[in-house]
Amino acid sequence: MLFNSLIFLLFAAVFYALWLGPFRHRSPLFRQGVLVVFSLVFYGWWKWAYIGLILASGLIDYTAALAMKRWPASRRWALFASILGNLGILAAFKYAGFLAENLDLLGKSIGQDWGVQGALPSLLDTLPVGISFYTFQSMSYTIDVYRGRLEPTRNIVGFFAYLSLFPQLVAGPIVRASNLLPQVLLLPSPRPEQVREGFILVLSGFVKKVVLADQLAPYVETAFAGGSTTGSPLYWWLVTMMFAVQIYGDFSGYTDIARGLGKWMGFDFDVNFNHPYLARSLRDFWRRWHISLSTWFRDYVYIPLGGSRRGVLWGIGAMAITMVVSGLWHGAAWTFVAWGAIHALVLAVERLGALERRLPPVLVRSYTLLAVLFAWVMFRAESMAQAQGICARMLGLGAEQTPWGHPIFGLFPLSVLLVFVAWEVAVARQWHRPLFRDRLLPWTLAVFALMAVFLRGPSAQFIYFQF
Amino acid sequence: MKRLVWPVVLSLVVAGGLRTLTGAMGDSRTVDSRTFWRLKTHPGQQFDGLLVGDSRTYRGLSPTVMEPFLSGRRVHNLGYSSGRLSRDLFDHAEGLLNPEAQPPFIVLGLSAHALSKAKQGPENPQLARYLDLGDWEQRLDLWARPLTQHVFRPLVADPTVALQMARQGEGRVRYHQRFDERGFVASITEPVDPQRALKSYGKTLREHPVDPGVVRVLIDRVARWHKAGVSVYILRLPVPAAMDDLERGLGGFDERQLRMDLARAGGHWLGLETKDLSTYDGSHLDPESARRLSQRVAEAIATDLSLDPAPKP
Repeated sequence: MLFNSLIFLLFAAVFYALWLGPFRHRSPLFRQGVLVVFSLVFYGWWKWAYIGLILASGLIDYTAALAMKRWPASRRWALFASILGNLGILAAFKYAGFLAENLDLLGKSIGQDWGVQGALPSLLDTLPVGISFYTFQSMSYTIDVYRGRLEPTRNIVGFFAYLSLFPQLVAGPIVRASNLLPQVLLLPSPRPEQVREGFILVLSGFVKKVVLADQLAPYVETAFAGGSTTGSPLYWWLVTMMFAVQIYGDFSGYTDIARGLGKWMGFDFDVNFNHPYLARSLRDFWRRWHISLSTWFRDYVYIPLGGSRRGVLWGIGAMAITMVVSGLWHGAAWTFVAWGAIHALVLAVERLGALERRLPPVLVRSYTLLAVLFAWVMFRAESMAQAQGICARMLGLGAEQTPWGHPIFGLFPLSVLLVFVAWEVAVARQWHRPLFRDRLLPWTLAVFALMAVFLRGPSAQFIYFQF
Repeated sequence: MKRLVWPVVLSLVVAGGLRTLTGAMGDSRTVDSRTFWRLKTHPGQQFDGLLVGDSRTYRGLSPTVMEPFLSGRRVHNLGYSSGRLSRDLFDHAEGLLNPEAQPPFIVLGLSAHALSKAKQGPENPQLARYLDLGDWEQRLDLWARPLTQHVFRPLVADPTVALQMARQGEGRVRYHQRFDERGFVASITEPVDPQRALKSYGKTLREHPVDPGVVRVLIDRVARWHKAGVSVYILRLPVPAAMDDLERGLGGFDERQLRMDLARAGGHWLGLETKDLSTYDGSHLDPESARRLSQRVAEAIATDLSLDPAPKP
C-alpha cells in the first residue's frame, strides 16, 4: 500500500478512527494485536505470500533472543543462527539473481555454460517490498540482546507489533529495537505536541513526495530510460540535480510521513534526514542522509570491523568496506557498488588530507556536492556503461546537443529546483521558523495541503521500496 | 488539534470548489493512456450515442467536437486498437447505450480489418483486457475519479508525453498523441508519411481478410438494433487511394455490397465529403481532419434525427 494512494487514505482513516477511538482504552495486548493485524494487511496488500517472510524473519529473532537468555553460554550460537537466517533470506531474495548472473558471466569468459540463472526458482524473481529494512530492524533486536543492551521480550504479539509496524515497515527509518520495542510494549497515548508534530511531518512529507519528487520524476525517468546517454552537458547536469532532489524528496518525504503517523500512535522515531545538501563535508553528509541506516552500519559493521581504533589506515579500510556493503544493501548491481566506492574514495581523501580543516568551507561544500552528484549518477543509472557515458557528458566529453525547446528547460521544472534551493537556504538561515509558530502554523499546514493536492506530480511509487 | 485541522479542511473545500467551477477552463479532458483505456471501457455512465470501431474510429471521431452539434446528446468513443466489429464489442456497447435516449444511436466505423476474424484468442484483446476492472485499489481509483480528477485536479500537466516525444526525436519518428477522457485520441507523427502503414497493413490483411461470418454478425446486429429503435449510422473512415486498393484487393473489402446489405438491415450509410481530409500515416486522420469529419458526422446525424444542427457549446 502506498502512502500516496486512495486505498491508504482509507486504510489510515479506519485505523486511526479505531486506534484513537474505541481501542484507545483496551488492553496493551489487544492493541498490539491490532497493530500486527493492520500492519500485515498493509504489507500483504503488495503480495500476501510475503507476509510469511516477515513472520519467518521475526520468529528467528524472537526465538534466538529468548535462547540467548535461556542458555547464556551458547548465546553466540543463537546470534549466529539469527544472522544466518536473516541474511540467508535477504541473500536468497535480493542477491541470488545477481550472483547467478555474474557466475554465468564468469563461466562464459572461460567457455563454460553453467546456466546458474536458469536454475534459480521463479519465486526469487521478485524482490519483496522493504525486505532490507525489516531484516535489518529484526537483526538489530538480536544483536542488541546479545550485547546486553536490551532484555528479550516474551510478548510475541508485542514483538511482532514492533517488527511489522506499518508506518516505517517498507522504507524506514530503521528503528532500533532498543528505541521502539519499549514504546510498543508500553503503548503510550499520543501527547498533544506529538499530534501537532505529526501534522507537520505528514503534510510536509506529502509535499516532499508528491510535489518535489513526483514533479521531477518524469524528467529523470525519461532521461535514464533505455540506457540513454544522449544529451548536452547542461542537460545531464540538470537531470542529475533533479534526481538529487527527487530522491531526497521521495525518501525523506516517506520518512516524514512515517514519523508523523508514528507520532499519532504515540511513538517517536528518530530523525532520518537533516537537510543533507547543506552538509559542510562528505562526512557531514553521512550524518544527515538516511541517518538510521548509516548509524546501523556504523554500529553493526564499521565498529565491529575495528572502526578507527586501530589507526587511520585500518579505519579507512573499515569505512571503505562499510560503504561498499552499504551500496550493496541498496541493490544487487555493480552501479550500487560503484556508488558506495565513490563515497568511500572521497571520504578517504577527505580524512587523509584533513580537508575539512585545511580547505575553505566553500571549497569543501563544493567538492561534497560534486561527489554526491556524480555518485547519484551511478546510483540511478541502469548500467555501468550508462553511468560512464553520462559522467563523460557531464564533463563535456562527446558533442551532443539538447535543443533549448526540450521540456527539461521549461519554467516549471526549473522552478521546482529553484524553490527547493531557496527553501534549503531559508532552513540554513532559520528563516522558515516563523511559519511553524503557533499563529501561522494552521495556515502553513493549509498551504502544504493545497500544494500536495493541486501541485502533485504524476509518479506514485517510492524509490526506496525497491531496496 | 481542531485549530490545525479546520484551516486545512476549509482551504481544500474552497480550492476544490473553485477548481470545479473553473474545470471547464483549460485542458481538463486529457488523461494518461492507462486511464484512457479504463475510462473508455468503464466510463461510469450511459450515453445517447456511441462511436464503435477500430483505431481509425478512435483517432478519427471526437465526441467533444460532435456533441455541440447534437443538441445536448452525450457521445462516447468506443473504438479499440485493432478493434473488430464482433459480438464482444457489440455486447459491451449495448451496456453503455442509454435506452431512454431520443433515440439512442450508434456510429459504426468500418475498415477491412474491423471485419476480419482473429485466428486465436478474443476478437478484441484490448477490450478483453480492460473489461476486467482490476483489484480493489483500481476500482477505488476509478470510483473516486470525479473527486481526484475534477474537484482536486492537479494544476500541472504530466510532462511524460512531451518528454517521450523529445526522446523519440533522437533519430526516429515523433509520435504525438493526446488522450481525451471521452475515448478520442488526437494523433499525428512527425514527419507525416501517408505510405507508412501500407507495409504492415498489407501483411495484416493478407493474414486477416474480411470474414463473411463477421459481416453476417454485423448485419444481424444492425438489424436487431434497428428493430429496437436504435439509429445505426455506418461510415468508412477515409483513407488514401493506395490503402483503399489494399483493403479492396488483399482485404476483400466490398463496400458496394456492404452498403446494400447494411441498408437492408436498417443502417444509414453516411456518404460524406472527405476529399479535404488527410491521414498522417496512410490509415489514421490527422487532428484537423478528425475535427472536420467529426463535425460532418454530427451534422449528418442531427439532420437525420431532425435535431437543431446549430452548435450548442
